Amino acid sequence: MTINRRQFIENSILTGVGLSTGILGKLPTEKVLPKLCILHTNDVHSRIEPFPMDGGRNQGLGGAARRAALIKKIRSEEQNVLLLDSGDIFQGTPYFNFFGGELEIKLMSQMGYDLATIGNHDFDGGIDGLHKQLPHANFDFVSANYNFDNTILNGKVNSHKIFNKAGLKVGVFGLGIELNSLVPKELYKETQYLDPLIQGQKIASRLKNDEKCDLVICLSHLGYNYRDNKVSDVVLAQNTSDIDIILGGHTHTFMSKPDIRRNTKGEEVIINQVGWAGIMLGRLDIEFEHAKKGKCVSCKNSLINS
Amino acid sequence: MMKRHVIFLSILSISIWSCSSKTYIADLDVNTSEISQDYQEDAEIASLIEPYKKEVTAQMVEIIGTLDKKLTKRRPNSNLGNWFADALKDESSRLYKKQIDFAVQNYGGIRIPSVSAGEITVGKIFELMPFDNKLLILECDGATVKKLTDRIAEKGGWPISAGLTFTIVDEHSEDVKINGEAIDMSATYIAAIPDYIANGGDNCEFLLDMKRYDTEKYVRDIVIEHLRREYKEGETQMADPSKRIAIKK
Repeated sequence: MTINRRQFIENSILTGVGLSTGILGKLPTEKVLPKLCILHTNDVHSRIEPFPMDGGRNQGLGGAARRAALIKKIRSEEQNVLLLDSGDIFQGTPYFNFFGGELEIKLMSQMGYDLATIGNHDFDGGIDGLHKQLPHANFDFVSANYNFDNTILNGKVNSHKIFNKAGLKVGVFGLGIELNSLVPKELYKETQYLDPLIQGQKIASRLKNDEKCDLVICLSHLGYNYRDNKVSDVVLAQNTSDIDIILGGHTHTFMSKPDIRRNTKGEEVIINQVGWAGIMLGRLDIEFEHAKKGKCVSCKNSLINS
Repeated sequence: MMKRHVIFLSILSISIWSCSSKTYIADLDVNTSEISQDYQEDAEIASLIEPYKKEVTAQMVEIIGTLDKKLTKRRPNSNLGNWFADALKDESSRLYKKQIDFAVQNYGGIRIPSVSAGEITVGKIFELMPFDNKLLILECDGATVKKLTDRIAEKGGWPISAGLTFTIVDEHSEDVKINGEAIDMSATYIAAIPDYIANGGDNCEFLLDMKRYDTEKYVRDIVIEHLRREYKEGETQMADPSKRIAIKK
């Protein structure tokens, strides 16, 4: 995107730089920056089982037990895995109507989800319904722009969480969509919606500059992009700084590759979203460097079918 | 090719380790997987699901009706929309113990494009209407009904029951008739409407002031009860292709 990385490296090798660093790299005392493997889902919407074989477009796809098997396999191959969800865990199959989201949360806990944000449909059982399921979660929910102070969730949802992965500091925060007119007030009650651009910038700066996070990730349920100026992942990316990656949801967008946008400092922001219903498991493998070369992003999106 | 690329990058980063404290993304590799049938199931997760699945399945497979023709969802009218709205009107008349003039269901609330002919299960109705919306009975003056039909016209047509007809002209409603008669702006009409719309959803905030009676039942359960009752009585659900909303071009 910014630099033709391969060409740069090959030039370095030709001039001998590559060779000398190669020797340095073999010294036993040298620290190597860890690699990070981010797995993510969004809008799973209570799809516990795969879509039924009824001739529908998604027949046979998805299913929590298969997703779990894939996650397990990846964990056996990768050391530094983060498993994240961008909201709308609830609603869409009778499992939610019957059990209020209990199974969804138990499954995510068992799969080892690290963190999730809250989607509009996660209020469908009322804020009390969501609160009731929290004991089943061994992971946290984050939101930087829902103020829960006057609700039952007061003190239960932080704005962000910082993960330490083999010395890498990864800051992850959440952003949610405007609830008014989307969710009945009697469900979200006194939850206060705050401007996602202001709150997002505030927390991202804090994570990047004060907490010195190596990577800042936003779990967003704002939606990928809209025709009007409504706040979205694209608007967020372009009007803030210090966010490296936005893992989105809400619009059920199947992205064939991440969208790369420039933030207010001219740096690249990676936006990704993986449809809905647990049909896809998103995976971003990230390598780091200490030199500011600008993000060099070589994205390929290979759909693994087996 | 990619692998070689990655190795070179790690070598490069080592050389700069001591020069800078900040970290940047050097390489991003995206490998999104489609969870297809080729994946094996994780046994632990499958066994966690099992008891829940049993309970859901037992209730979902119950046959509660038969359908003579395939129902398909379309705008501005469709046999699926007609059937659904008629079921709400019929069943809510029983609940309210008074004649309901018409029922309305927002288009987006019906979540599947079609229902096949033949047996209808509880599970199918859950797919059709997964949301836990309750049905309300509203007493609306004619002027408010007109606002509602204008909104429905603007949205391209929603499922409406027998008893209400109108014509869409340039995104608003004209020739609104209730029970075959031109709408009287000052008369009171009784309408069955999901709480989502009655509480102002889909820009229907003008319904908020209307006098209301809460059936305290989910829209879905009302349709299920309707089907069960008629099935017991030996009735088949009939597709009704009537055009309740006309479009004037």
